[in-house]
Amino acid sequence: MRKYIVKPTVLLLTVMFMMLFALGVSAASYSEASPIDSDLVISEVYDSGDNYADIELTAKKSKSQKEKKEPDLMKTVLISMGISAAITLIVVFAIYYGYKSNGKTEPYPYNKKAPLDLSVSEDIHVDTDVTRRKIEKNNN
Amino acid sequence: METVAYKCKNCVAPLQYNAAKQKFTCEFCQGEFTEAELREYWGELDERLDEPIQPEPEVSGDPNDFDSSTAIYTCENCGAEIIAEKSTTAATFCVYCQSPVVISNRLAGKYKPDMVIPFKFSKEEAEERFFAFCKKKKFLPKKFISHAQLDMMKGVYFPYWMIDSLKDGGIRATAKKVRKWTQGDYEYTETKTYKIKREGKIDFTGFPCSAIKNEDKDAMKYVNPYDDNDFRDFTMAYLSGFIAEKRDTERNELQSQVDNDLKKYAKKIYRDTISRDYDSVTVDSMDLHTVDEKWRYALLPVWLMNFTYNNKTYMYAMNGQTGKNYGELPCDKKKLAVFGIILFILLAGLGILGGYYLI
Repeated sequence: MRKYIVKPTVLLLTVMFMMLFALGVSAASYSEASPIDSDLVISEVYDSGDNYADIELTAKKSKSQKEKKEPDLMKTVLISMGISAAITLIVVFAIYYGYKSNGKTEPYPYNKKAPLDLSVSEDIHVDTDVTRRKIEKNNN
Repeated sequence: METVAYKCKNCVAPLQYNAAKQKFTCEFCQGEFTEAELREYWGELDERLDEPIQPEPEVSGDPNDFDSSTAIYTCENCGAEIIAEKSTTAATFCVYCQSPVVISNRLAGKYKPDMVIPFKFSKEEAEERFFAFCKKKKFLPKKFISHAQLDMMKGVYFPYWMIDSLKDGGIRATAKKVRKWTQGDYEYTETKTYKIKREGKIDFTGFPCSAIKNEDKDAMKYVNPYDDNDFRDFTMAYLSGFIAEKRDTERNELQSQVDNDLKKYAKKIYRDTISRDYDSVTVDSMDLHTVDEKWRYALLPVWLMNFTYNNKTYMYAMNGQTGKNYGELPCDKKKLAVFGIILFILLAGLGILGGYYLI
């Protein structure tokens, strides 16, 4: 598992996929916060024996909710496409620049080849500063 | 110009250093010789390097036809006259008989290397490593990983200064620890400030610095590190069968660059001793001076390949000891574009599905 985690491309793709999924889910859930079945509403009103004007009003209501739902689908599609395009660009550029900078790793392993013989090591506490800030309370 | 060709004791054919066997081999009679055997038989060739350098003869004929840095040498094997293209080339092949030729005059006197790391693996193994590396890179052009391209892979010994430097000094730094808590309606922030002092000696060993001007600086730098345990006393025989470059820089030309590099490393080393418990550390000052320093001239092995793609020349270098590779790689933009489109369609599809149907 570790060998997959340390590979930056795999990790990047996984994170981006999760981000995309989460964003898509949140966008859809936001748009469908109160779903109403328009047919059910019409039949219920009709069965109850209400007058014609009431039926027309309810039908108009459900029609406007249908119209509202369609742009939300578009919104989800657009958000998904936008995020996908952004992720794709990031991944493609990451690959491209990875090729450009292939092998640029630390040329001198100083941890192994440059031992330090420490003669002085001091950490002196010189000052303590305490500040306070009033926490703003949300009255709502 | 004086040249040297190591010849087989048995059949007098040219000998080459066989990296896979770590021995000197004859392709004709299949003879194999160790370094000790070669030194015993051809030892006096290396002794020539301690003699003063002979001036290089100029190219005969119209001087306008040739670069001033070229010179003529004679192949020890076939007697052909061959022009060395660069003034830094110290080992090459005869273009007529393909015998390895070492230009000893360019390795003599002050240009005699102190040590060498011989190639650790053969060209065949370098090619295998190269293919294994390329398998992981899906966007390389097909031409790049072709066998025709690999014919251009050459074993080159590059000149480096290896620097051992004992430094003494230290740093002064300011560190801060921040703690936050709430009490009643208030949030408190406590910032503790510390003055930090670190002093001590740093013993830099085997710090590499390229000793040639007209080579790709990044390639020369990032093909490192090498393992110092494989350093051997220099003998020209190791160059037999490879190309070698000689240094064209002096210590005084590179001293300030090396001092700056070592200063950067020293700062990192001192800083690494500061506890990570601090929330922030700022280095206020650093003092560093040299106690002792030694520069040694070494030849280090690199497998090298040049590649032209879309009118741009790429250089690929592989450390001839460890196999570490370096080099800007050509990227097939068509392959990458197709990958991008597929990725986009997949992600967009999954996003829409995830967003619309799963809730």
